[in-house]
Amino acid sequence: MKAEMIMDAIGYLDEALLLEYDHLDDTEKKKNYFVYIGWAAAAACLCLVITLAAFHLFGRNGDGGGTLAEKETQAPGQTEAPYSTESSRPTEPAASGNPQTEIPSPVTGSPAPLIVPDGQPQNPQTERPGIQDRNPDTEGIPQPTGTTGTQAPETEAPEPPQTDIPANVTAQPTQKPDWESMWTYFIAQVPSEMGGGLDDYPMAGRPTEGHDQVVDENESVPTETPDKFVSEEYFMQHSRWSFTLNFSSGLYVVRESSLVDLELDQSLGMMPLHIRETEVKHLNFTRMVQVYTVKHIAKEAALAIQIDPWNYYLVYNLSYQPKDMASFMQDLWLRKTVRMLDIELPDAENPKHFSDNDKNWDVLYAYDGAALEGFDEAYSHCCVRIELTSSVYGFSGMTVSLYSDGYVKWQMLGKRFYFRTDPALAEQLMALYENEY
Amino acid sequence: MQDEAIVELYWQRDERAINETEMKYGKYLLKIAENILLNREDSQECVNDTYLKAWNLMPPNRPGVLSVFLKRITRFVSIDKFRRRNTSRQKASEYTLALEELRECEYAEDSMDAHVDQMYVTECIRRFLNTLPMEKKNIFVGRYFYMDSVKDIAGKMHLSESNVKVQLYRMRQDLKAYLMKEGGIEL
Repeated sequence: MKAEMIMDAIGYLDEALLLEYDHLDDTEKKKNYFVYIGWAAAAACLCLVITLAAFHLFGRNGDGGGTLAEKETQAPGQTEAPYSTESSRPTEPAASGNPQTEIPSPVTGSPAPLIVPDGQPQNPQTERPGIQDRNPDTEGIPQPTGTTGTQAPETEAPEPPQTDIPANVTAQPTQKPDWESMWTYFIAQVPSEMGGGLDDYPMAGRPTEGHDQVVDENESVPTETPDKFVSEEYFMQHSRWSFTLNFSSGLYVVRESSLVDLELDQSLGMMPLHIRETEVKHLNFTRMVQVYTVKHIAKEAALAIQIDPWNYYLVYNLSYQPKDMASFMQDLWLRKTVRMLDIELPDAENPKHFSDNDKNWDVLYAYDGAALEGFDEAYSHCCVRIELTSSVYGFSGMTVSLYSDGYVKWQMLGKRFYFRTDPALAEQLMALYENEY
Repeated sequence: MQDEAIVELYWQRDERAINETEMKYGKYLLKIAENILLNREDSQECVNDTYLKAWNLMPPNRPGVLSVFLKRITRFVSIDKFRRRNTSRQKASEYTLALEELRECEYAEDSMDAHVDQMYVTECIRRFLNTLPMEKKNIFVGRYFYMDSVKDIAGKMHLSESNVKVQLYRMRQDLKAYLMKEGGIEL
């Protein structure tokens, strides 16, 4: 093999190999550039050291710097300006025998005496302006904002840098719930047979920025305590009424008055309730509730629940009026996302309290921690809760929905919180529905 | 001007491409040509030939790295011009010195060359270079592709000339062994 062949073969080497050598030129230039910077920095440091040394030798104690003529002009107690080094005063008038040399204080920004070419100041003064303002503790310490010599007439001390920071810069943004991501996450957890999926979910009730407000400003909240036997008109006027149900393997508690409405999502489903008459009477349920229908809250995809205190069942109002209850219940039955449940009421006189340790709730997200904490303490046993409290009594409207995979949606005046129950309990509860109906 | 823009000018058959190429890479190309030919006029002629070949090659070619593309052309054109010279005019350029150095890698009869594929040798050399550290690789490329002098390479690599020479010598020995072993060119 001849050398020429090898040489020709080298001519076909990869670009990457050749580029490496090309880049050496650029690196070399950069290195040279940094070398110059390094030398400049070294020179600057050397000048700084010399300046500091000069300060130390001639300016710190006030007796080492300047000439004898300068010292004689100084009043007792006066000290030399910290910047008055020999090196910084190339046209020092004292050197030419002028005893009236003055050096302005850089702190006060006093004008320096004008120096004429022959070194004589034009405005010889015997007192140094601003000398009384100097702090003896800082004598000899170079002032970072001062001028360095007498060559700068009418030099003012530079103003300190602006420290005003706009309020919007320092203000910490309030942490708000990430509705979008939470919503997406939640919907992804809902199985398709339960109406899950972003495309299937009705977006009418989707939380937005405007839903952060807990209490509706347009809502007039009466301050007086309503009569227990309020009229239907009063209910309709102050529509958010209390209703608390707790489902847990047949356990059931009614805490507050009666149900007026539940705002539900049709596609995700909601459990209608069947309440026995005796227990309701036992809880003085009947005296509060009339047969009424709340329609004004129902909106589009949302459903209204109608309660008949004499029959004690809850009915889905699927945005249409069923012909009769039988057909309606059949309709509900066909919708697998909707179930009914017989509920046993505990003894109202001796309500059962459940252990706080029996927590089956795994809070995925909580916007109002205090409210959730109180809620969980009282109903920590629950795997499903439905609560719709009344603004009349100082509560906020709330709906809770259970999903077969254990997820629960808790909606309170537009705010939605999501929990995950104990999967075993959720499965048990759903099995109970299946067995009942 | 960016390389992509210059290439685009070539593709648009815009004569400004030549001017832009000369402004950006003219002196580098001239350096390579002078390393090979050791003659200013001939080198300038080779650089001009480089522009002409580039003009003819683009399109259809669209080089990834324009600088390497041009330097490669200049190298081939210059070497070709060097070989067409009379022996008496072949001065002791860096190319001549590098070629003499590479003769240390010769290991077989001339008749073998007819049986060896050029690109296969290139592949062997590429694999050999990939076994080397970056510093040695750059020294090799600088010497035998760009035909830079040992002094120039030593300056770029921040090494002594003797160090560069020693490394080049060892690489040549290793290359010869590699070509004989990995190349499988023995007949």
